[in-house]
Amino acid sequence: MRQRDSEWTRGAGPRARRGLVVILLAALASWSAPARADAIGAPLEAEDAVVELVAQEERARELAVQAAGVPAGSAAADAHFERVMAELGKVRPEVEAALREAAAPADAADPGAPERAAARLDGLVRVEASLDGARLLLLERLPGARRDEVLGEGRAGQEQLRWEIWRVSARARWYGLRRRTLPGEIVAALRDPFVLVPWVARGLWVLLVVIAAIVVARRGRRMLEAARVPRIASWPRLRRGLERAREVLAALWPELVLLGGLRGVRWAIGGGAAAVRGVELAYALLLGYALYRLGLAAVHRFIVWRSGQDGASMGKATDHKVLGSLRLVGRYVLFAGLLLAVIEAELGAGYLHDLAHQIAWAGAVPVGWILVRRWRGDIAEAYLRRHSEGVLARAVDGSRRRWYGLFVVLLAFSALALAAGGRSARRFALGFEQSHRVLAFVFRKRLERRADAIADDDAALPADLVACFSEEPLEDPALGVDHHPGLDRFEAALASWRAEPRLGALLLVGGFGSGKTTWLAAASRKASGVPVRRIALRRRVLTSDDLLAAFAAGLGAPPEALAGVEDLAAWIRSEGRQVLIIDDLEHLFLRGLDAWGAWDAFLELVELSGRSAFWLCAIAKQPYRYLCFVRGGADIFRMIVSLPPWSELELTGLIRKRMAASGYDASYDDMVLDEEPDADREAHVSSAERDYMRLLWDYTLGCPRVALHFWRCSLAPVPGEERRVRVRLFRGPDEEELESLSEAERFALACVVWHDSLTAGEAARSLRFPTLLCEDAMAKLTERRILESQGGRHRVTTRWHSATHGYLLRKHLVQP
Amino acid sequence: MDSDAEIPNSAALIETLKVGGMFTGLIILAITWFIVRLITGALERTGARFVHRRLFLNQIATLVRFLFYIGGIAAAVGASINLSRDVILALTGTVALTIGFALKDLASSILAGLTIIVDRPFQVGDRVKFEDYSGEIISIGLRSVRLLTSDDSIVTVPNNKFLTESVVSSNHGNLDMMITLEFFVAADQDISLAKRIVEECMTSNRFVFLGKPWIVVVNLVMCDTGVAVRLQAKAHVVDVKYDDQYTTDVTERVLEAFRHKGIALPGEAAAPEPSPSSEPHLAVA
Repeated sequence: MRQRDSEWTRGAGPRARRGLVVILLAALASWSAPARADAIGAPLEAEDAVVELVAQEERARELAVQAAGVPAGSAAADAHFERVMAELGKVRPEVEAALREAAAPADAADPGAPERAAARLDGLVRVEASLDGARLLLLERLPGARRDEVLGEGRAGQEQLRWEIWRVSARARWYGLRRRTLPGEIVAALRDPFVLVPWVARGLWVLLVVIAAIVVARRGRRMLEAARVPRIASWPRLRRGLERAREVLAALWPELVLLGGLRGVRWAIGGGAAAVRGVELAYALLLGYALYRLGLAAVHRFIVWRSGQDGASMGKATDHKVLGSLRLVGRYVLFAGLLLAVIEAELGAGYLHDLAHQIAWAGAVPVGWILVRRWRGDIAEAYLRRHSEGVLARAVDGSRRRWYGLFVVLLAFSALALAAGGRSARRFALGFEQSHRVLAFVFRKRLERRADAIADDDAALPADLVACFSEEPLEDPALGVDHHPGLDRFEAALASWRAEPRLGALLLVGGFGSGKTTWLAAASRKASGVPVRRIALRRRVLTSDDLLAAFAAGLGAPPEALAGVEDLAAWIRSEGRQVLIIDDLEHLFLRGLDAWGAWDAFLELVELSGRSAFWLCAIAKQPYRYLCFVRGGADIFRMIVSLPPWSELELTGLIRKRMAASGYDASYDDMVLDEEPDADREAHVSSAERDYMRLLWDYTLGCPRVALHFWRCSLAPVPGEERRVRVRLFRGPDEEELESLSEAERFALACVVWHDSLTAGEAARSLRFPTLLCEDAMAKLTERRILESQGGRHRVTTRWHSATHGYLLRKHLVQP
Repeated sequence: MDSDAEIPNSAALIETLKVGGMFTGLIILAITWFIVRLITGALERTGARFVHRRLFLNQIATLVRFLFYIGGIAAAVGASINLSRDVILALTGTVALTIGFALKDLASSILAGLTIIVDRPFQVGDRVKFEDYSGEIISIGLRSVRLLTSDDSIVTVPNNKFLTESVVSSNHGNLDMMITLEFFVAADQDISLAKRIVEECMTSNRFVFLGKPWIVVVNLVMCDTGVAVRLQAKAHVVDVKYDDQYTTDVTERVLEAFRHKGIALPGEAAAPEPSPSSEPHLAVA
């Protein structure tokens, strides 16, 4: 409305001139007609009226232009507002008189009088509209206090109210008078081909858009539901996101099509026609309705999805109730929105619009009241489920059948909403791995301030407890958790290999202590019905002959099978279908020159025997990374399963299982940081356990072997309690020791990590260092307990694993 | 008469230069220098410990040095000169013109330094080639950039030179850097064996970076003894500081393996004439 009025104001000059021409023509017509003697003065009066009207239009235009230039919040805006109101006060009786004159029955003595009156009325309406546009513009720019006064209940406010009510009645009367001539104007327009053809063209466009919208609405949803997101294996998150977006789109499809269709119709109508007041208003109302439909569907779907995420899906009755409540709120918002849109379109954002706005907000109170009444029982039950004790819980329970219970329920609802908001914020924050790490760091720092919470290194533990926390691969599945990622893929691959003669080979890749051997043991249990043979490569073999010897010894092959790879493959084929498990596959190559003979022979062996034997192999992560770097991977393996780091929950599950198997109770009393006596100590202990597990997960980088090691280091017997151990903060190794390593020692350490395990001779060959230097470096590292030696093979100790990994990462010698 | 005229000039000079403020300005400059040393020293120590973040920390140190020096100088000037309207007018007039001509190179170097900080054609720690020099950028200062060349010389290049001349950065802010080594063998030798040796020597080297791909390119080149086969081994080194050690280690190992496997170099001991594009110091045979 404001825009339209300002547009009118900008076009006031040409329109005023057109009005002037109409009045002049009417006056001349009436003057040239045969008239009575008393009507001789009529042309002169008409000419005066024209001059007066032109002057009024000029004044109104000037005031509107000045209003547009007045700065907001200034005293000038107030002064100008007063001038505009005074001018409107002068125009009002003239419009009244013109309305009466135009509504008067035609006088036979003066046939041109009705036309003159109508033209004058139109001119005055334009003047009034221009001034009213200036009034609305200035109303926005008034200083705050003055604006409150003008839109308040006082004298100034009542003046605005009276003016807007009069304006509504005057406009209604004017529309009524205009209606008499409107059909004739329409018929005339329809007879004009230059008007008719564009109308028809626009109409066809509108029809086309409507038909297209109907087709899209009917078929699009089915197509969306049937569509499948293309498999993007390397970006599972993107795939999940696309899948979710597709589901949302399919669910909201009719509402979206309605919205799009409306936009399309508006486009088809064209900018000029769409700017017509009636069309604009209709579009605004329909758009409001479409948005209401879309908002309702989206919010309902969101609520259902959220409730499903918490694991408690909504029942049908609750769903119906939720939908009913959403409809109530939505319809009220729609009604208020449409009412405000109509008022703004007809009267602008003036007093009545402001009043309607306030009433709409006030109307939210009864709507809220209805909602609270409707959900009263559910809120009370939900609150009592979460808080069975406390003042508010007692009040909620005691006031369920009382009238004032509504207010108590409101309080309970606020408490629930706050708690839900807190939970959502926490869940959001914990959705990031870095948040967990920060929390773990903070917890560690808080624990470190307390000397009694830090474990001694030499706390003697009962042997049966220590046995339960062995770091060796599990032979007894009862001590482990059922966490074998990708085992189902192995089962599927094995089943498919058994069903048809095809090459069967799976490579398991896992970091230090990630449970590769345990995984292989679980896989061998799954391979029931097929003979399983296992070879653990305890030493490095780098030539084809060494490989044949090692495999022949492991499989019990006859001497003639040692002649070559083809002979060994033929012997394996002759043994029938079997599963061959090879652990420590990294021992088949070395980071050095002429060190791929055994690996190449092994690949050939798998190729030649893979249809008779399913090769299930495991390799450490760092050697596999080197393999990928040099050879681009291991393509012979049809399937590669990578063991990811364990999550907090998985580590917690493992430790709890081992504790339960040991028959000991863990006491977290030393971990509780709240010094004050608290009634809810159990909750604090539970929270301390969670925090400690997070700390363990953070420090051990999700490695179960390291987690078990440091968990065992955290335990100490509780004096006087036989089957109870206290948990205290473990001491990690001093990482400064690593910073003091020489370059040769640093590379020797890195070389051990690159190969997973290594002898000094192999390190010398790989690094091109003198053997003595390597032996010396390894000996020093072993003395510091960074490395451990088993039969000459060195590997990083469990205790130093996290520190070593971090150190080599910092030195850019391993990649994350 | 002259002395009468000098009195107002002297008074104006005293009004313009704040004597007490100049002392304050000197203190500000000293404090700025101390803070910059403190921060950059701490960042250098951190960079030595966290090698994988070294170049990033160097970048921060450069930025800190710039910001503090510019801020310190501005504060010192503000404290020691009374910047009245007349002074500003004088500075923008004849005085500014005179100083501008005298110190235009310095001013353009400072502005060029800011451009280097924003545009980042190279960073501290990068291996660059500029005109006849190549080496590691060890500092980007207000006025100049310092390069440490392979023969342990420091080359100081005014910042404004980098605005008009091309500069090549081999690692561009990364700790790893590609190194290309060239080996030449006689055309009648077992090329696949030679290629395998080069590949294995390169990929098994302790300094090689596993995070980026490698390649060995084989082509024919003309040398004094006729046609030879050139093997270009391209791989990244884990840290730019190891480039010489990597080059030496791979070269020694390749030559040793060539001898061991009986692969002859072109013209036996004669070195081939390297092609114009190849780097002279990397030509092996």
